[in-house]
Parts: sequence; C-alpha cells; structure tokens
Amino acid sequence: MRRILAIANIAIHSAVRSRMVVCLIALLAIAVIGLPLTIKGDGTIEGQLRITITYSLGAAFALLALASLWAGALSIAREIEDKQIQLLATKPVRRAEIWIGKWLGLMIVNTALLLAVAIATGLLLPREKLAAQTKEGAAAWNAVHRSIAPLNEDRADEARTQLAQRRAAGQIPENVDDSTALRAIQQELIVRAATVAPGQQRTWQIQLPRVLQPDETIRLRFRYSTSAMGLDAVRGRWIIGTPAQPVIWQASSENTPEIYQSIAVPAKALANERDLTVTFVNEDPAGTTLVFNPQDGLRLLIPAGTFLANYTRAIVLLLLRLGFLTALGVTAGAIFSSPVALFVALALMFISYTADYATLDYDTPQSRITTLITAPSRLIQMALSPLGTPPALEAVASGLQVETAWLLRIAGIQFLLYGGALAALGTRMLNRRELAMPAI
Amino acid sequence: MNRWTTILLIALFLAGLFGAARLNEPLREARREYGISQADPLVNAPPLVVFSTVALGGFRGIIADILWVRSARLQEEGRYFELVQLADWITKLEPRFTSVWAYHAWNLSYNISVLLKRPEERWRWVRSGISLLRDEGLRYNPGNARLFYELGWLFQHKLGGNSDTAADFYRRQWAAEMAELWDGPTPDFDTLIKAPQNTHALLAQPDVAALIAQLQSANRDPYSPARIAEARVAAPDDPLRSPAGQQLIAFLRLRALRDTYKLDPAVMRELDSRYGPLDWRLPQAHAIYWAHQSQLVATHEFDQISADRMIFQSLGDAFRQGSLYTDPKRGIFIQSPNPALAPRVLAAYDDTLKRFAGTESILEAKAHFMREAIIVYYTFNQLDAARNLFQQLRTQFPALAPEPDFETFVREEFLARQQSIPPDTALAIINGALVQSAFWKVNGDPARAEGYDHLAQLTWTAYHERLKTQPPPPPPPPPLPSLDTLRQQAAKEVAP
Amino acid sequence: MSEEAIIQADGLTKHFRDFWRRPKVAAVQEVSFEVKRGEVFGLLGPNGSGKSTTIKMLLGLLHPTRGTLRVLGRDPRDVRAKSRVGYLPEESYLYPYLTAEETLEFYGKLFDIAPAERRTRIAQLLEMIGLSHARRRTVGEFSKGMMRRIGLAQALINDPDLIILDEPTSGLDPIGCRQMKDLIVTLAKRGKTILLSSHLLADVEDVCDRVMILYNGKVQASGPIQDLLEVRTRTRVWLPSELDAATMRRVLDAVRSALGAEPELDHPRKDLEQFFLEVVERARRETTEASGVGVASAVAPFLSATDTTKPAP
Repeated sequence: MRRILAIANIAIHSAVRSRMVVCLIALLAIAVIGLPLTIKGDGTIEGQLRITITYSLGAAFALLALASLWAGALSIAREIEDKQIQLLATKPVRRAEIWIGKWLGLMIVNTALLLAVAIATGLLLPREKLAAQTKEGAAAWNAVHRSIAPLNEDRADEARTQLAQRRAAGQIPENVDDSTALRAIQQELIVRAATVAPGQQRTWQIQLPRVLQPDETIRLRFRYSTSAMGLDAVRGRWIIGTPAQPVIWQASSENTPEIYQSIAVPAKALANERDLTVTFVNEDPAGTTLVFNPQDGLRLLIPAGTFLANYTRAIVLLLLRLGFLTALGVTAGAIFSSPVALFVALALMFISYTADYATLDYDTPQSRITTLITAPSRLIQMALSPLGTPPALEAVASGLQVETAWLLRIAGIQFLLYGGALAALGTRMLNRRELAMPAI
Repeated sequence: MNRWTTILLIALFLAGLFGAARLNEPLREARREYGISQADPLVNAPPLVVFSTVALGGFRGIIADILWVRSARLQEEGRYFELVQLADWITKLEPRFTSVWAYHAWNLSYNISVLLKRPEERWRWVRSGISLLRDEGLRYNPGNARLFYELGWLFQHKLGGNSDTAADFYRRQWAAEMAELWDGPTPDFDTLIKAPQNTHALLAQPDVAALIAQLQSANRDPYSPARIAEARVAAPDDPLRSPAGQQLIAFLRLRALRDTYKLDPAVMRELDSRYGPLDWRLPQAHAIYWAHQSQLVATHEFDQISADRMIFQSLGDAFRQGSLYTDPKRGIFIQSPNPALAPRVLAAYDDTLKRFAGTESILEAKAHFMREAIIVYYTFNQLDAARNLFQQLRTQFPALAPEPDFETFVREEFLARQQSIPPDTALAIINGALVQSAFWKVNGDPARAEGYDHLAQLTWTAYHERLKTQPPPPPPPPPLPSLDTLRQQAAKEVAP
Repeated sequence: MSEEAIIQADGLTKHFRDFWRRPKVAAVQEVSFEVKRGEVFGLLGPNGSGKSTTIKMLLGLLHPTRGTLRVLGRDPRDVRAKSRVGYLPEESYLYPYLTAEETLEFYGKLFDIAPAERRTRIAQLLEMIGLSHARRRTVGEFSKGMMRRIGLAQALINDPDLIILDEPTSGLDPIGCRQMKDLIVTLAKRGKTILLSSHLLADVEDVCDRVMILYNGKVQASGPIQDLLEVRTRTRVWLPSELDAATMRRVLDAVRSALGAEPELDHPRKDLEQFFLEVVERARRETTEASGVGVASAVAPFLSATDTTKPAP
C-alpha cells in the first residue's frame, strides 16, 4: 500500500507539474463560471438552473473525461519513454502496483477537481433567487422524483394468437416466416396500445416500489403526439385508481402535445396502495387521435429525497465513470507508446460514447455468411452496450432521481468489471513488456 | 545545390508569394461581390463572440456541430426552451451560420410561442424571434438577403397571418408600439428625417438645450422614451409641447425608430410613396420594408424572386386588411380593406414580371389577385372600378378569365361561392359586416359603411337565393302496416 | 560464505527483434559469468558491445532470449531479488520535479522502509554525497554531477547486497571520480557485491577485482584483473632513490651479464589523476572558500558491514 501511495503521489506530482492540471483548472473555471454567464435561458430561473447544471457540469465533465484519458494514456507511456520507469521497475514494485498507483494518483486529482467543480456549480446556482421568486418554485426545485414506468404488458401470447389467426385467414404471404411476421404483429400491437382514438381510453398498470404517504404529492408525466397539425392543446381526462377501485382520483386536462407535461396528484386517497391503474380518456372535442410515446409516454413520479442527495448521486456516478475512463487511458499507456496510446484511448472513449447508439438489428435471413459478418459486430455491441452514459445530469436538472439502477450499472459493470479487466490487462501487458527496449 | 540555385529558388518563392498576395485582394473582392465571403472580420462583436470565435479557433466548428446534433434531439423531444439556449450558443460560436439564425428565430416565434397559453407570453416569444434576427443576426450578417427575408416573413406570416390564434393580439401589440413613434397610420417622415441625428446636434439648439437642462433639474430623464407618451397626454402649457419639446420628441422617436427598430425613415418614405399609402402600424408595411432590404442585397435569383413575392403578397394583404381603425382605450382594433392600394399591388406584380419575364406562377398570382380585387371593389360598391379591372383582366389574361362579361364573373366568382357558405357562417358574415357598417357610420367613413352594408346585403340575398334553388325536402316515409297484419304475415311464413 | 554466487549467468543471449518479430540485432551472445559475494566485477567494452543490455537483463528490464540468469539466487524479475539490489543508471532517470529529499523519500517508500529509518538513511546519504545543503532543491535544476550523486544515493537507500553501477564515473569531474572509486572500494570492503560497467579502463583497473571484456556481444576476455594485466615476460625493478652514476653503472652491468640483454631505464611517473587531485587539494587548502558542491564525507553508517546474515525480505 505504501508503494502504491508513493507511486500515486508521483502521478499527482507529475500531473500538477506538467501544467496540465493548471490548464484544466482554467478550462474548468471557464465551464463553471464563464459558461453560466452566457446562459440566457428561457427567462425563468428554473430554466436557467436546469441549463446551468446540464451544460456547466456537462462541459466540466467532458473536459475531465478527456483530461483523464489524456493523462492516463501518457502517465505510463511517458514514463517509459523518459526511462524513469527503468529505475522504478528495478525497485521491488509489482507491475500491478505501478498500474494501480498511476490510476489512483489520477483519480485523486479527478476527485478533487470534480468535487471542486460540483461544489462551485452548486454554490453558483442562483437558488436564492428562485427562493425569493416563489416559495413553490423553490420547493419544486428541491423536490426530486423517482420515475416509475408502467408494467410491461406482455403481448407475446396475443401476438401468437393473432399470428395463428392471420395465417389461417391467409393474410400473411407464404414467403414471410413466422418470426418476421410475429415481430411485425408485436410492433403493431405496441402501436395500437399507444394510440388513443377520440372517445377511447387507455389504461396502464403501475406497481409502486413503496407505499405512498398521505401528505405526499405524486405527479403524472406524459407526452403524446396528435393526429392534428400544429400544437393545439388536447382535452382529456386522467383517472387513477386500483384494480379493485378504478376511479379514486380524476381530473380533466388540456395539454399541448409533443412536450413533456406533468400533473400533480395528491397521494392522500392513494396512500397504502402499491398497485395502481392510470387511465387516460380522450375527450378532445376536435376529434384528435393521440399517440403516447411507447418508450416514455407515461411515467408516475413519486417523491424521492432532496436535490442535494440527488446531486451527490450524480457526482458519484460521474466519478465512477471517470474511474473507468482513467483505467482505459492507463491501460492504453501500458500497452502502447504515447501517441498511439492517446489515439487508442480517445478512439475507445468515442466508441464508448456512441454505445447508446450501437444497435444492430438486421432483418437478414440467417445464413452462414451473414452470421460470420454480423457475429463480430454483435460481439462488439454486447461489449459496448453497458458503456453508455446514463443521463444523470439531465435527470438532476429536471428533478428526476438519478436511478439506482444507473449507479449500479456504472459501479458494477463499468467501474468494477470493465475497470478491473482493464487493470488486469494493463498489468499483464506491463509484466510482459520489456521496459528498457532500445530504439532500433 | 549551389548558391545560384538557392538564390533562384528563393527568388521564385518570393515571386510566387507576391503573386499570391496580389491575387488575394481581388479574390476577397469577388467573394464579397458574390456574397460568399466569411472572411470579413466581425465588427463590434461582444466579448463572448470574439472569445469564442478567436480562442476556440477551429474547435468552435466541432462544438457547434455537437450542439447542432443535440438540438435535433431536443427538437424531437419537444424541449424547445433548452433549444433556445443551444441555438444561442451556436450563433455565438458561428455567427455567420445564417441557417442557425433563421432556425433559432423560427423556433422562438413559432414553436415556443404556441406552447404558451396566454397571448402576452406568446407575444414575448414572437417578439424575441423578431429581435433576434433584427438586432443580432443581421448585426453579424449585415446585408444578408436570407435573414432580411426571414425577418419579413415573421411580419408577413406570424403577425400578419392568422395561423396563430393570438395573431390578433400580436398585431395590436405591434400597432401600440408603433403608435409611440408616430401619430396615425403614416409616420411624419419629414419631421423624422429632419430630426437631430444625435444628442450633439440636439444640444446645438439653444432652446432644446435649455429644455433638457430644465428636465434634468426636475429629475426627469430627458432621453427616456417615456417622454414620448407623456408629451401625448401633456397639458398644452407643458414644456414638452413647446417647439423645443417637439424637437426633443422628434429626436427620441427617430432614435427609437433607428436604434430599436432598425428602420430608416428615408427608406420608409420611399417605400410609402412607391407602394403606399401604407399603414405603418400594421405588419404588412414592415414585411414590405424588410423584403425591400432583402431585394436590395439579393444576388441569387431565388432570393430576388422570394423578396419580390413577399412584397406583392404583403401589398395584397394590405389591400385586403391594410386599413386600420384603432382605439386602444376602448379596445377597438379593426382592420378592413384598403381598395386604393389595388393599382399599387398590380404595379408591384408588373415590376416583378418585368424583371422575371414570363414566370408562370407570378402571372397566375397576378390574375388571381385581380379576380379577388374585382370582388372587393364589387362588395364595396365601387362598381366602376370593378368593371374597369375586369376589362383589364380580360385583355391581359384571356385564358384565366373565361367569364364572358362582368355580371357572369360576379355571379360565378362571388355569388356561387356565397351560396355554398353554411348557414351559421353566412349569419356570422352578415353580422360582422353590419357591425362594421354601423361602426364606420358613427366614425365618419360613410363610403366604408355603405360598402359593408352592401356586403351584408349580398350575402343575405345569396343565401336566400340558394334556399330557392334547393331541392324540396324528401317526403316523409310512409306509415307501416298495423302490427296485427304483420303478425299474421309472419305466422303464414312459418306454417303456410 | 564469500564463495556464494550473487550473479550467475549461463549462455545469456539477447536478440532484439523488429516489428515483425524478425531478429534484427544480436546484442548479447552466449555470455556466461559468475560474480561472487564481495567482489567488484567490471564489465568492459566499447559502446554497443552489449554491456548495457547485459545489465538491463540483470535488472529484469529486458528478458533474455536464451540462457539462464540468477540474481541473488532468484529470477531477476522477482521482487524479492530486486529488494536487495541497488542500481545507478547511466543517465539520470529521476523525476525532475521532485527535490533531492523527495526523490530519496520516494525510492525509500518503494522499499517499504519504515518512516523513521527512512529519514535517518536519507540524512546520512545526503551527507555522504555532500548534498545536504541542496536537499530542498528540485532535481531538475541539478548539474549532471549532482544528479549522479542523487542517483547513487537512491541506489544505496535499501542497503543493497548487490550494487549495479552503469558507467558510474560518467559525468563526474576527477574529484567526483576519485570519490566514487573510493566509495566503491569502501562498499566492497563492507561486503557489498558490486558490478559496474565502464569504457574508462583506468576506472576499472583501479577498483575491480575481476573484469569481463565484451565486444560485439561476445565475451572476449575475462578473469582477475591482476592475471589479465600482468606481463610475465618482463620484470620491473623499483629502486628507492636516485643512484649515483657509478653505482648505476655497476647495477646495469650486473643485469646485462645476467640476462645478456640491454635493460631499459626510466623514472616512475605519477598518473595525471593523482597529480590533478594533489593540485586541487593544495588550492583548496589555500583558498578557505569551499566550492559549490560540498565535499563528500565518510560512507553512510547505515550501510552495514555484516550483511551476510540478513535474510531476504
């Protein structure tokens, strides 16, 4: 441990002395102090707070991510090129200790900078202005909600029944195989379930993770599109109840389509319930048909702690993510020489950022050749899929809880599993590597 | 390499450099001429823009791209407010990226405004879209035909049109703002043009200087725009009503016109004499103003035609709705046709047709306008003007005016259409016309009152004409046989 | 115990390969040698002869292509071996942003030396190399000589059994060279085993018990320095003082008649190094002012003399 700390200390020294940290601090200061000055917002203080958090912290994090990768990739690679490692490696130090020491040193710098950024951003938020403006505004800002998705409706059985019926009726062409037809039917069912024609209604089942307290206020958050041109508000009625008692609370609403809307619901009558049903009745006089977004058309928001706790969660999540990126950099530096290491690390980071977009869904018939071609990309996709970044800052900014599942994913998969694998790989490569290779 | 070779190569290098340098200026000139230049330095940019464009160097393009990609996602998610911020940043990073200005202004005026319920809130966003183009976009892209056009579009369509339920509110607000700058429909151009150009010129007049000193000692800021409103309601002995006071007010008005609204009274006067008299409180006049600016700088044919089109369309709108009677105190804001403008509209069409000879769509648009104008004349009982215009239509566009004579034309074009109007709409039109008629009678415009009364008559008559020609209602269905008879029939069927 | 082999190399071979793993340079070929405890062993050879490659294999920084190598009875990459080795590299591989003290502190920590002991050792080492006054200055500002001294100090911080010195005198002025050589001799007397490489033959001659001469990666000669350098066909007679002419003639006649050959006569000469050191010493005594670099004191006391019983950590 003493050896790891000594190496970490050197890594910190080296980062600070290389003026990298100074540069970074200057850039972070611009992000945290300068950027909010350029925010015009939408004229509301809530909007300004939201944008400050998303973009100030977002920019600061992006800078830190790049810097971690940079410093990580250079830390070992530079030391090999400057031959300082030739002295270090002749001491009774395990190569793993070198890797961990470098990583730890950079993470100490990262943590210090991220905390400074987080605290500075937190202090610079014009919260008192908000409090001065309206009491409800401040309370709304401080309230954090956990977003509960409706239960997944299993449409597999229905889809299979439909498939059998349509096959029997000869509605499906012969050359379409069952799996393709089934998928198309399932999609059709999803769309149909999301559509609410005039005078019709749609019901969602929601299971709460905890019972509600009578004095709490929950919110319904929804977003729909309409069949009408323009963005005219649509009239409807929201009903919340339980399977046993379908109407406990109801309210009529008139909301603009295309944007997220939310309605406050006092939890008084819903207390002590876990299973809820939410129903929307389309009462639009203009006869507009609505389509709820299948992904996030409806959410029930229940109170979940304070802003500060949520903010802390987001910062922890970002720190864990930095831990992964630093590991990526250090390992790249342990394998390659400095420019190559930097390039590889940056490339991997960009790939990991696009992980959210990496979806492969080939509708090609399975043959040996397509399998051969798609297998590697499927593997890459499988490896990349846990590397996406959950929108933690956006969640904090919009008062939604940074989900525990996100934290677990980042901590468990990105930090421990991928970070550990990178540490093992880096150590192994350092062990195998001859550190005094002459240039030939 | 011997010394002479070295010298020769250096000489060649210098000659090449000199040649390239000589080419540079003509190239820049040419770029400027064809409007493809982004090489001109930014003038008077605020520090943030200078910083972002200089310090970030080439990276600002990448950042702008990232933000632009993100804005697409926000648009999809309907997060228009955040989009405002992104667009603001993008325009700061890439102030010469005209599409972003146009997109940004559109987003503010169209997408965001309609999300809000109260007309005042909507107006705030529409106005910020206008101000974005006028005060910022055009500042970084002076003389950009596209941005002038986009600005004109907001006046023509967002304020002038009826796509937005709050459009009437916007027009009232805009007219109220303009009423600060002049009295009545048309500005007093000469006073505005002759008004002192700056405080220096203003203070050079001893009586004005004295007035200003007097106001200052009374703790009234002489340069505050609030003085304009005060002057309007001031008592006759108020110093603001004195000749010096009028000079000050003229100066304040000119300053607001020029600095806030970016309008040049000389250009306004020129446009008014060419196309007017226009009511400058209405958005059509402003659409024409900005379209004219676009026309002056447009180099591509597409931009030129677009600007021309905006001019004759807005003039057409002014012909239909360009006469305003307003009394904010009583909440009255009535727009009605301005038949006097018809010759101006036709002249504007002819002007465009002269430059873009034989453009089919413009020819058709002109013919269409003429048909419309004839009906307006007709409903306003200006039958001579209507007949006259019909003759012109027949001679100019024989193919587009198949009706043999004026009477047939009126019957086909107006009465036939009137007859297809559903009953409640017909009643609403008649009511509206009669209210207007009564209003104009009281407010001293008997010709207009008569015109509206005529419209009410025509609509009423047309409706009843239709009733006459309507097929008779279907006869009531015959009674059924008695139940007993039917029972017997049924019994027979089962057991014959 | 003094016959214990500290280094055993057998058939040591190192090929460097190119990117495509094709052998490119045979840097060391079939080198075998042994270094015994307490010996001062010299590796001699011109630049590019394979000295450095051999040393880097001894340190575990390069892996032999063929052959076996044991250092202190273990694989050189074993941390237990490394904890008993001290290494002075040919150039400064120190961190330029650390001070002299921080540098020693850092390497001390890597050997897991307890803090109190570490402080004592650092103080003694700084005293020994004459840099106590510069302990707060960063290494980056040091002259080359000062850096070598710090390099030496870090090599000794763990009180090593085996000290590997790569070109120990390079970059040092004659005084520094002399001090270095004296130190090597002292350390050897205290039971340390020392392996050094050099192309300055005089240095090697002065301190080494045994040498091995490498050329082109191969051993050209090796053995105790006495054996290698002794010219057995000739004998030199040293006479205490200037003889008068008659006595000299008699002596020469006797030699001539005994050998039947003509003897050669000359005066012994001081070597230039010794002469230079005397001049400097005289000048130092005359000017009371001390030079920029302090004078090294006696060897650091913690460098134990009785270390043969010390168990490997």
